[in-house]
Amino acid sequence: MTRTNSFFAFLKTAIFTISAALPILFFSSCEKGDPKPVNEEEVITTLEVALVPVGGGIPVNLKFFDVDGEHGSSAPLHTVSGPLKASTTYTATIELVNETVNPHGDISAEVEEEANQHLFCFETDGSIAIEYSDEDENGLPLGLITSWVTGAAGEEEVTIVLRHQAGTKTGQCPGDGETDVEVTFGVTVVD
Amino acid sequence: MKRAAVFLILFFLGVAINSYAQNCQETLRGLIVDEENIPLAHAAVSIRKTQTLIISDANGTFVFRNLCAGTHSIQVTFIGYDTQVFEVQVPSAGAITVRLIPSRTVLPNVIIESDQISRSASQTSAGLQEEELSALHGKPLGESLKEIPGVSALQTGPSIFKPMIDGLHSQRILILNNGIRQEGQQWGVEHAPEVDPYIASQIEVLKGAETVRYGSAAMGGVIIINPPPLHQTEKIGGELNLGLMSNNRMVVFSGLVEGSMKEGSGWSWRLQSSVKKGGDYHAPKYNLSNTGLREFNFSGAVGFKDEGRGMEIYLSSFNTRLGILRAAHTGNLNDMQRSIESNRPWYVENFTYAINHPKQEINHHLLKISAYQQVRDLGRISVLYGGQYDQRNEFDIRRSGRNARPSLSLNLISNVLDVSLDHEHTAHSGSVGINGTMKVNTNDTDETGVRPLLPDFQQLSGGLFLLEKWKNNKWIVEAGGRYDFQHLKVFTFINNRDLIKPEFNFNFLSGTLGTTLLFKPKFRLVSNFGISSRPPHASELYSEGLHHGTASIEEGLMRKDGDVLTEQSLIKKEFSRKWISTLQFTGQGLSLDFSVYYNDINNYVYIKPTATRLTVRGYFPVFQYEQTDAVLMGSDAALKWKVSEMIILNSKFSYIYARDTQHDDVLIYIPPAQFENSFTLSLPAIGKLQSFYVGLSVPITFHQSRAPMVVYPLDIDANATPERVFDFAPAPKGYALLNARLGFKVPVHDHSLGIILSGENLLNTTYRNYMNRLRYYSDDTGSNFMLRLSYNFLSH
Repeated sequence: MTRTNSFFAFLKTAIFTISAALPILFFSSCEKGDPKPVNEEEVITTLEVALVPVGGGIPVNLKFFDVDGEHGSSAPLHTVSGPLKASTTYTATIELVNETVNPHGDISAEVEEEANQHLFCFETDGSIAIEYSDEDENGLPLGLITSWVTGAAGEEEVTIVLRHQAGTKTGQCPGDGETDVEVTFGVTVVD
Repeated sequence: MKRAAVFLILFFLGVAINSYAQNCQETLRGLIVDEENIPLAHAAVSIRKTQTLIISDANGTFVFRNLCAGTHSIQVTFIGYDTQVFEVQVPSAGAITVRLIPSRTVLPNVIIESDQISRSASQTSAGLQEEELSALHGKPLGESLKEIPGVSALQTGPSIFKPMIDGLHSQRILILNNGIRQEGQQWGVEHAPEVDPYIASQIEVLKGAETVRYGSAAMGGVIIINPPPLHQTEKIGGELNLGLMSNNRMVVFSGLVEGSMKEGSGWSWRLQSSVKKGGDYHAPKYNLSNTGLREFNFSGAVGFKDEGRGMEIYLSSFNTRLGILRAAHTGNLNDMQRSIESNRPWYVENFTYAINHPKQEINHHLLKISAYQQVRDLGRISVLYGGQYDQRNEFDIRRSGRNARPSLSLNLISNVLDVSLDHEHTAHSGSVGINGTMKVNTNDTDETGVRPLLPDFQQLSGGLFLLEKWKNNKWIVEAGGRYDFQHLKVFTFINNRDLIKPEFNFNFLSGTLGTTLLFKPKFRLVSNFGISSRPPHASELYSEGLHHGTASIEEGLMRKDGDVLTEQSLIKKEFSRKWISTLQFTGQGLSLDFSVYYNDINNYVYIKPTATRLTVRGYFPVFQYEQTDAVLMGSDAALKWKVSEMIILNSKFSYIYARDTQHDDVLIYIPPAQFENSFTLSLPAIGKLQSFYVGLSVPITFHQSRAPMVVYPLDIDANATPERVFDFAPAPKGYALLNARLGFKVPVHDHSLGIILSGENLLNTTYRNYMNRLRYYSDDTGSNFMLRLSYNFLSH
C-alpha cells in the first residue's frame, strides 16, 4: 500500500464515518413530534371556604383564585362575599380545585383520600376560634370541615395552610412536612 | 438509531481490519536533556536491534523515521553522562524526553515523559495521578477533584458534587471523558457530572480557557479523565478494588480485566465495572435521612494499534440513583424559614439503605469510536465520534399516588464528531481540526404531568480551529484561533398554550496566546491569555417555572414579565478574557507551583431575584437569569517540601476574589479561601509491608466574607424585592478538619495487594460548608473511616 493510497483510504474512512453518523443525527432529531402543552393535575387554582351559620343566617364565601396556578405571572384574586356575624358559629367546608384542566380536578378529594398525610392549619388574630370537625383514619384532625366561632366585631386575618405530612403527621400544627397551600383572607366581623 | 450504531461499529471494524497490512512507518521523536532540563546536543541515540544511530541536534532533539510498531530498546550515550538504556513503545503518544544524569551521580534514573497532545503547552494544569486516585476511590468525581488547588465543588448534599474551576461551573466547564466531550444534564446546580471516576488512571484539570481546541464549553477550564491506554499484554490482567466507608455504610466494588486478542495482532481489550451501595450519611449529631445512593457502571473497550494507525471502540454506561435529603424539600418560604431557624433537620429517621422521595435517577450511555492514521509529511489524522444518551429523572413528593412518576424527565441525545490533524516538526508543531455537535433535548411530559423547567431544544454546532506552537530550548510560544457556529431551536410555550419555535444562529470566535519560559534551570514560567465567547445555553435563555423542592420560580433571559422573547438581537453572548500564569520551581527537596489569574467576563450569566409572586403556597421569590459584567481573580499555590527521604510536607492554598462590576456587588457561590497542610511519613519496607506511608492533613476552609447580602425567607414579601443578589442565610463560619491516611502494599503471589486506611473529619467536627446548598437545612457529614483494598494482577 503506498502512502498516498493510505491517506485517501483514510479520507474515505473519515467521510464514511460522517455519513454513517448522519443517520443517527437524523433519527434522533425526528424521533418525537412537537411537544404539547402540559396541563398539570396537581395544580391548585382555587381554594374556597363555604361558611354556613349553624341555625340559619347568611352564608359567607371566601375564595382564592389563581387562573394560571403557581407558574404564571397573573396575580391571584381574593374574594370575600360578605362580613361574618359576631358571636356566631359557622360550619366551614374547604374545597380545593384545579381549574386548569377539564373537567376540573377535585384536589380536596385527593386530600381526603390521603387524609393521614395531610393537615389543615389555621392561624387567626384570636377572635375567631377554629376547631376541627373531621379526622383521618388514625383519629388525627384533617380540617376539610371545621367549625368557626366568631367573637366581637372587628377586622380579622385568617391564614389557611395545608401541610403535606407523608409519614410524619402527628396532628400538631405546623408539624413536619411541606406546605401545599398557604392563603390569607381578610374578613370583617360585624355585630 | 440502533441500526445506524451497529452499522458504524461494523464499518469501523472493517476499516481497522482492512488496514492491518504491515508497513513500518512510525516516527519516534524525542528530546535529550540534562538534569536541569538543558537540552544536550550531539548525544548518540541508537536503536539497539537495528543498530540505527542518530546524533541529537543543536536543540537536543532526535527523530527516528520508518520504525515498525512495537517495543524498541533505545540507548543514549553522551560523554560525562551515564549511558541510558530503556524500552519505548512505538507508536508513542508524543515526543519522549530522556533525562541524562552526570556520571558522578549515583542514581542512574531515566525519566520518560510523553508530551500531552490534549492540551496547550502554555496551559496551567494540575492533576491527580493513579496513586492519589486510588486513595480517593469510591468518591464522586466532583469530590475527588477538590484535592486539586483551585478546584472546588458546588454541592447538593453529601453525594452531589458539581466541579468548579477558579469560581466557574456548569456551562463554562468542559469534561473530557476518555476524549469525548461529556454531554449531560448539568445545567442545574443540583446536577453532577455523569461520570464514573473509577475508569480514570489519571485526571488532569486545565485551568485556563481551552476554548480553541474544545469549544465554548471550555471557557472556565477542562477536566480531562483518562483511562489507561489499551495496550498489548502477554496474559489477561486486571485489578479488583473494594472500598468500605463507615459514614454511610457504603460498599464499593470495582473490577477491571484486560488482555490482547492474539499476541502481535495489535488488538487489545478491556472490561471494567463498578457497583456502589450506600445508605444515609450522617452528620455528627444526626442522620442525614434519605441521602443513600446506588450506582452501577460498566464499560468496555476494544482497540487496535499498528504502525502509525489505531482505532478504538469504547462503550460505557453510568447509572445512579441518589436520595436527596428529605428535610431539604420545602413547599414554601415558611418551610424554609423553619429549617434555617432550626438547628436540626425536621426529618431525621434511623439509618437506612432505602432511598425514598425526593430522589434522582440518572442513566448515561456513551459510545465512542476513534481512529487515527499517521501520514508522512502531513502528520497524524484523528477521527473521533461520540454518541451519548443521557436520561435524568427527578422524583418529587407528590399527591395521590403520583410519587411513582418523575416530576422531571429529560432525555438528551448527542452526537459529537471531531476530526483533527496534528503535525510535529522539530521547531514547531500544531493541530487543525473541526468539531461538530448535535444535541436533542426532550422532556417526557406525558410521564411527568408537570410543566418542564427546561424546554425541549435542538442544537447543531460546528467549530474550526488552528493551533500552532514554536519551540526552542528556552521557550515555547503558542497561538491559536477558533471559529464556531451554533444553531439553536427551542420549543416552548406562550402562556402554556401556544407552541413557539424560536431559532437562533450564533457565530463566535475564540483565541489563545501563550508561552512557556525556561528562564532558569529550575524555574519555569507558564503564561496563557485566552479570549472566548459563548451564547447562553437553552436553560439560561428559556427556563421557566417552579423549581420543585426549592420554593423558587426561575425564569430565563428571554422571559420577561410573562412575555416570551424570540428576537436574536436580544441575546448577548458571554465574553471572557482570562489570563493565567504559573511559576514553577522544581528543586531537589522543594517544589513550588504558584499561579495567578484574572478573568474578565462581559455579559456574565447569573441568576438573580427580581420579584416576588403570590401563589397558592404564599409568596415565592422569582429568580431571573440576568447578565452583568464580572471579574474573577485569584491565586492557587501548592508547595511540596521533601524534608528527608522519609518526610514530605505539602501545602495548598487557593483564594478567589469575585465581583459584579456593573452593580458593584459580590457574586454568589464563590468558594471561600482554602488552606491545607499535610505531612506524610514514608517508611522503607517493614517486614513484608512495602511502600508504607502514614499521613495527616488539616484542610482549613475560611469564612466567605464576600457572601451576598442576607434576606431570610420570611423577610421576602411582595413590596420589598431585594435589589441585589441575596442569600437566604449568612455564610457559615470557617472550619478546620483533621484527616489521616495510612497505606501499604503486601505481596500476594507475584502480585500485590494495596491497603489504604483513611479517616476524614476524625474529630467529628460539626460544620456547614458555604458551597453546599443543603447548608440551610443540615450540618455537613461527620467522621468517615474508609478501608480500600486494591489487588492488581496486571501483567505488563
